Amino acid sequence: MPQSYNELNAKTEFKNFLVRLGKIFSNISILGLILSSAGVMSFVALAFTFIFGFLLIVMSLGTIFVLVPNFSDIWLSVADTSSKIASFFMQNFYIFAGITIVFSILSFVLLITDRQSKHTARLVISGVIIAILLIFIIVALVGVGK
Amino acid sequence: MNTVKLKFTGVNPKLIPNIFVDGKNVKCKKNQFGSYEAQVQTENDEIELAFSRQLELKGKLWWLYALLSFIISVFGIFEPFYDRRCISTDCLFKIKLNGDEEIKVRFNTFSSSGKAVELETKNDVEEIKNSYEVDKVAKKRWITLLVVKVVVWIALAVVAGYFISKTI
Repeated sequence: MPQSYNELNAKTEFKNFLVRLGKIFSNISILGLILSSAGVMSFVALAFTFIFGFLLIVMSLGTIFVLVPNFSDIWLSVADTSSKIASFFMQNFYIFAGITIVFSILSFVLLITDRQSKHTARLVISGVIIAILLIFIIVALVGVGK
Repeated sequence: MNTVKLKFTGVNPKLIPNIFVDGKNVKCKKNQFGSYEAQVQTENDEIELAFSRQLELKGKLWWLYALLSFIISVFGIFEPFYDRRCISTDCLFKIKLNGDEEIKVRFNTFSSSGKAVELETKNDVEEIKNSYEVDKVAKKRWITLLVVKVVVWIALAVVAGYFISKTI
């Protein structure tokens, strides 16, 4: 019988640490998902930059070039920066996605083995992250294949 | 052989307490009504029923695990917080048995005053301990950890600032 029921034994302490690690990996995998999808999101932002610039020209009936003489330079430089960011994330997509999937799987395994507390939300998030990234990877591979 | 049915209500599903009968950890299952149940068989005429909440910062190697967590979580950025309140459950009952028994245990909400659980049973119950209490050791360690983290963050900010100023 333990001296006090509130005292932690070495095994329980280690289990608690593993659960803590699971939560840390879960948090990292959420950031990983954001970074993995940043490439696609950056391309969306790039598209919005073009659409927004084009709308400004149409709605101002071209007077935007008079009001802001270097409008086209600003517009193109913003689009260029967006393009660079997008291509950086797209080039490193497989690295981000791979790391994220590894952390998600580790998190899932560590949290599902905890019998003391339930981590339903985190387990669902990890599962969703794995599913989304696998779809992203398949789409990317199919796209590259074409 | 006595069979004791334990029913637990008011349990926070995120913080299921450890349940001990005669020093052995008892696993409980959630029923369809959202409360928890366990069944224990014993030869004894009296059982010792205890509930506890084991805080992470109560362990002997708390500093090692805290340090590893801090490093792995990129200096605490991705680290979940340790329980700030450090409230532990300290409950111990001795219950005399008369055959097949049912004991209902209702957990009260966390507070540092008042009883932690209410027992409903027809048996004779000797209440030895029944309270929530702020664990002073865990609280002290929590504060120590916070101070160390703040110092490390400041040191990191200074180092980062130094290197940035050098490159510029």
